[in-house]
Amino acid sequence: MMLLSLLLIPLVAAALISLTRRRAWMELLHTGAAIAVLGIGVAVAAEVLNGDILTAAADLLRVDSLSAFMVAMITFLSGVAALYAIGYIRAEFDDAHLPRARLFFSLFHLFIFTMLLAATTDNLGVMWVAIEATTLATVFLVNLRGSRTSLEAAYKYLILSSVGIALAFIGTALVYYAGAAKTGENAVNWSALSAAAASLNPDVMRLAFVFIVIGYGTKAGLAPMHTWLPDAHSEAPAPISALMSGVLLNIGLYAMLRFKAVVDLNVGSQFSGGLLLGVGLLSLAVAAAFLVRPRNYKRMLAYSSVEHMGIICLGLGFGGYWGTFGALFHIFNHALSKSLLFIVSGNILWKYHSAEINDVRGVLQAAPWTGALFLAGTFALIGLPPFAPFVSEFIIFRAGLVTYPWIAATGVILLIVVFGGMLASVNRMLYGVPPAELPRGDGLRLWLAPLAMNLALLLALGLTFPPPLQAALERVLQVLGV
Amino acid sequence: MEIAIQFLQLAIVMFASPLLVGLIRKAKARLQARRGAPVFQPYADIRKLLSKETVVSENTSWLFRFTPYLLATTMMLSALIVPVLSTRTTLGFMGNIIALIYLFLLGTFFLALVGLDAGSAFGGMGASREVAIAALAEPTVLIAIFGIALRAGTTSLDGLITRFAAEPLLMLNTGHLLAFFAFFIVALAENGRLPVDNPTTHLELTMIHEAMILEYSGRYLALVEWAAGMKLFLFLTLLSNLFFPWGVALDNTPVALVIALIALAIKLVVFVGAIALLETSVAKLRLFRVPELLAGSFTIALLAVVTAFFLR
Amino acid sequence: MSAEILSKLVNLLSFVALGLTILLIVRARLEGQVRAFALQSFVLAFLSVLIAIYTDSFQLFGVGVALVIVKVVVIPRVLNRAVAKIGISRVAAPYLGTAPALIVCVLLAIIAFYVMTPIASSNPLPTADAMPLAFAGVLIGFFIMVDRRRAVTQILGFLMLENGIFLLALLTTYGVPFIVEMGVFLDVLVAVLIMEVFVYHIKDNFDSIDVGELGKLKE
Repeated sequence: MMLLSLLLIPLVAAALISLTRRRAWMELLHTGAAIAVLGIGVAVAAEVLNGDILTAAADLLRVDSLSAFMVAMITFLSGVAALYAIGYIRAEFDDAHLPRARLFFSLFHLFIFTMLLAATTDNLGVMWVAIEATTLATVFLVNLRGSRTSLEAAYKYLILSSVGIALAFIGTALVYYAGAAKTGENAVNWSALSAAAASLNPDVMRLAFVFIVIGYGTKAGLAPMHTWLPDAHSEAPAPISALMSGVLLNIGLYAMLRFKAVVDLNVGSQFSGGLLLGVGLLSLAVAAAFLVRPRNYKRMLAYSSVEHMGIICLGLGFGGYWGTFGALFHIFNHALSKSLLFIVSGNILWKYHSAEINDVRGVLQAAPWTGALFLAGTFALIGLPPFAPFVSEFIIFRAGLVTYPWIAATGVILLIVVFGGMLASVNRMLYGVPPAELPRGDGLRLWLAPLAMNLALLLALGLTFPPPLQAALERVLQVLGV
Repeated sequence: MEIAIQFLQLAIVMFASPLLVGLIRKAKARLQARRGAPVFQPYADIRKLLSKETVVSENTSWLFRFTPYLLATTMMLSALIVPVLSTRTTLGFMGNIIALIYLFLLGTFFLALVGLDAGSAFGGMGASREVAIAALAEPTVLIAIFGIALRAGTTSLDGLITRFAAEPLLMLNTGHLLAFFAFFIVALAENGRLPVDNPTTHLELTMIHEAMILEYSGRYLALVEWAAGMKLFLFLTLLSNLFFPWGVALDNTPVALVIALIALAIKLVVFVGAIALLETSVAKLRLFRVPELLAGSFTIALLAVVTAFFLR
Repeated sequence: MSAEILSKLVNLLSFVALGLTILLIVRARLEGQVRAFALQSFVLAFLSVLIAIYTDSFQLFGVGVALVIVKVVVIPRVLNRAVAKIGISRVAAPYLGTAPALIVCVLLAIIAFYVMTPIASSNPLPTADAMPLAFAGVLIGFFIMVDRRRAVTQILGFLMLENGIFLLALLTTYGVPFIVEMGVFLDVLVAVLIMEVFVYHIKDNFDSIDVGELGKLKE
């Protein structure tokens, strides 16, 4: 019941918002739904991470600890983004553009619904449908401003993601074929597949996993299928960028993880690990090449997402207990810090009316709160202690130095390149003298308050590692068969 | 007995080919709501040409006089090895499909030389176009042949037909059908039919085959036209017996031969109808679009080989 | 119906479907391209009904019917509406000419055979032989999306890619479960509707449906 309401609330909210005519109603429904989803999501995650498995709707939905991990992330970050979105949309679309605001709020919840469905379903086919639906729900959000560049970004996003995900369907169908020989119609369910994993046809599983990596890798923004990502993430409104970079990419990773768990039981982790190391390192290199000297700060953040997806894939590729552990932890940390940064970047854009780094000077003077949050977020993102990403990156590369020293060393060098490039760019933005005609003071200051939660979590997890969290992550690792 | 059948086949090709040409013209005329010339008109044409004076340009060499005979000879030689009625003939062992295609191409080659020989502008133009088309068509033919040869395990015409006659579900076999389509398109191109060339045109800018033989007259022209008719007859016979081998006599009993003759007649009539329909419904392709058509048939042929290789 | 006849028929129809994908490269007129897609979808629906009869599967029959409704009737209508609204627009030249593009198609088909044959030969179903053909359709659809710059042709390339995947699943395991198949149809339908809207947007903004004009977002 709890599970069903988790899915139904955003769906119903999306439908209701599309019927409203007044801003107050929209915001009320939006806030109510976001908070309700957050509450139920945390409750579901807490229950499952304590050891239960929730099922609903004739086993169509099944939440194990890996799903719960995703549900916790989706609901938490969407809650934060939802609160900020109210202020952002008020500033962006006045009452003359109310239909746009309505479209935004409605699609926002549809987007949440599709992500939650993808994370909670046991049926791999339904998961595919839900992930394709995330693209469809977000494409108008990317094009919300209706400019030529956002049109271009949205079209690219739509076409590339649809094609990529179509390839993932081949992988899904092949896995189903391999499983159907053993378990019949049930083979489309992950739980049945992973139970029968050892007896599946290894040739089919290998080929299937290649398609899965290409397909869901497109969705996760891994190079060389990442080309849509910088465009879409930089053109979307800030709260949506935050969710796309922070959560949606992880949904792609999540789908890959589900298949990886089955494939690893079948052919050993060498095969999937090798593939992931390849795309991971490539993503890192592609992102580093851009991040040496970025010109647009939203694109910088988007490329940084490519980089972090690469790091996570490296962690999964290094494998073993610590590699996978670090990767999961890093998924969480990246989501926190990246959504924080994208939201703050929305504030900067709102103030300076430009996404070019060269046009932005002296944020710390002009808008101290915004600047401070951006600085803290950047520190976290590029892996400075005492923030949590430092810990997870350290775990990942420590694991890599044992198993694949050369790859790990290359990765670390690339990380240093990124570190320097991003720090220099952010430096130019935050310090210096702001343009004289710019009014002083933070915009949307109140709406930034929820970000304190992100920052607090990042800091806390960087300094301590509470045993309940450790136990929860261990449960997730068990699902992954590590 | 086998020698008799051999010569029977030759006779059929020699004497029935003008009828085939006449039939196509008649069918086209009827489809275009004209009355058209009688089906035996090509015989009358040949007789008329044979009785006319032959004019030979003074600029030409011996090639000009030699080629018509060569054309007729190669076609008659081909008629000896193509299994028109029966797969069991004396010269059947020579019936290699690759050799056959090159016999056809030998004729094309000399015709192109003749087009250049007279030194007229149209002849040269026709020759260059013909060679361009042949160069595109030839790989397609070979690949289509590989497609069917791979399946049958032989390039001998007799072997191919025997092998395919034993297979009842031939029409459902993709590789086979693909090879057929590729071969059919090439047959149209090689015989100067629409949409590659228009056999009835005498508009200078669009001629290909007609441009090459523009200088011929009298008995030479009769021979060239007759050889062209035989070539068409042989190509269609090859298409019908190779790809639809039902009815071809596998042993030389009189009954089987009669059936084979009737089957051949029916298949050829179907082809005549198909060609007439095609030539009525499509326009001639502009010359620079022809490579696209042939690239299409090349693609089909290549796919035929691929499927023959991978699919049962 | 014996397994042998089914196998031959499936091979043949899969080839027709592949040929229709390739036809997208040869045909220049958008109406013809849309018709090729509708015909291909019909062939696929026929195939699924054929297999439904062979396996006595009522669900597969339902999939065939849904396929006819969505991809033979609705989507071609949507696309034709888009084509009619756009009117005669400047034709964007493809990156590759027709003849080289056809050769690329054959190469892709060979790659498809190379990749899929090992899996097809270990598959006991009578339909499995044609798996490489379906995969070739996927690859060629992908190639069309890359090579052709007209937005509508790209959408058709995507749809044919999708059809190829449907066929592949159909041949490999007689299709994925019913609920998934319906979800996929819904997604494809919505995707096409969204793409249609984008075609209008692009047409309004750039006065052409040449997606090569979309090149502003660079590093």
